[in-house]
Amino acid sequence: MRNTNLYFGKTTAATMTFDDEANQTLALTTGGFNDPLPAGVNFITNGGLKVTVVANDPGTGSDNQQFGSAYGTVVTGDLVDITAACTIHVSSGLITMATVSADAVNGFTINTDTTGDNDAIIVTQLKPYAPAHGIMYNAAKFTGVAVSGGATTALNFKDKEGVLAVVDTITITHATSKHKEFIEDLMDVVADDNRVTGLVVVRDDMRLLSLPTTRGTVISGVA
Amino acid sequence: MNKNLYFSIGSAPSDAADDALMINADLFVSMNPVTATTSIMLFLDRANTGGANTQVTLTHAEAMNIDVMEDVAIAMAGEPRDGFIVIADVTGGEFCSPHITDCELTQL
Repeated sequence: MRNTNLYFGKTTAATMTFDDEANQTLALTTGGFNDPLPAGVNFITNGGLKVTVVANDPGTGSDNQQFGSAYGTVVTGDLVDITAACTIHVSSGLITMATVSADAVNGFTINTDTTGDNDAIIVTQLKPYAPAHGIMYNAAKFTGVAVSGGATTALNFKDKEGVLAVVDTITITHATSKHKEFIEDLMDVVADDNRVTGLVVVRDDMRLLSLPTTRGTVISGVA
Repeated sequence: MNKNLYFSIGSAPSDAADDALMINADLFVSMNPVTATTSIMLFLDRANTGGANTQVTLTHAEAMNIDVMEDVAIAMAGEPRDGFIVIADVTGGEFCSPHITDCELTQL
């Protein structure tokens, strides 16, 4: 049997909303977004986060929000992904949105006359980058399962720190009283070489992905 | 199949203690992000002390933790005839993921 690894994305995607935005920068904070802050100038281009805005009075003047040509025709209320306009500081979490005058294709310029119109600019985490965000376990180090609640099952693995007589526990939330069905669904994948390619996402709360199930298991969370 | 994972840290020449490591894939326990540019692989202790583990920290491009984990998992699922799987050979410039740039071995 091939080596199979099980992935658990343990935190939901961090988000931070900016309203009444008065300049072209978005300052992420550890309290508002995530601790630690994203790091590296390529964090955005590598898909680590996205930036969206709900368009409000788009146009071409200083009393409009302005969008580059790549966005096509934008009308008020459109949810627009302006990630391509954004760059991030190497360590401070400061995101800069390129203006349309600087980037006629992907740029986004806030309404500079009425900054109160620049609401609902949302930064959303797309990938894990800290220890708490997720973990991959070797399925061969899976030691057992125990019912842990009416709608939860605890998966035990050998302790990743190497401590004897200790196990790591991952708790999966699923439909009520579907413990056995969840275990069967999990074993179907772990034991079947034809259904896996190495990394099996059991549950990822960040990307809202779950193991495919066929028994009404409805996996909905992990901790 | 008996599989072994190979790592080297980039020393030139790679001839000092702990410059490289080959470890049985069966000892691998888990992998998780540490920072936006590093992820750690944890193994049951190669030295069999029972109170520690063997750790390999992979440095990679920003925000590519999950991508590197996927690449490592795919590499480990491979079945080369000799069972020899290179995860990160910094000295030889061979990596199982295009996003990995460096490797550090600790608690060997």
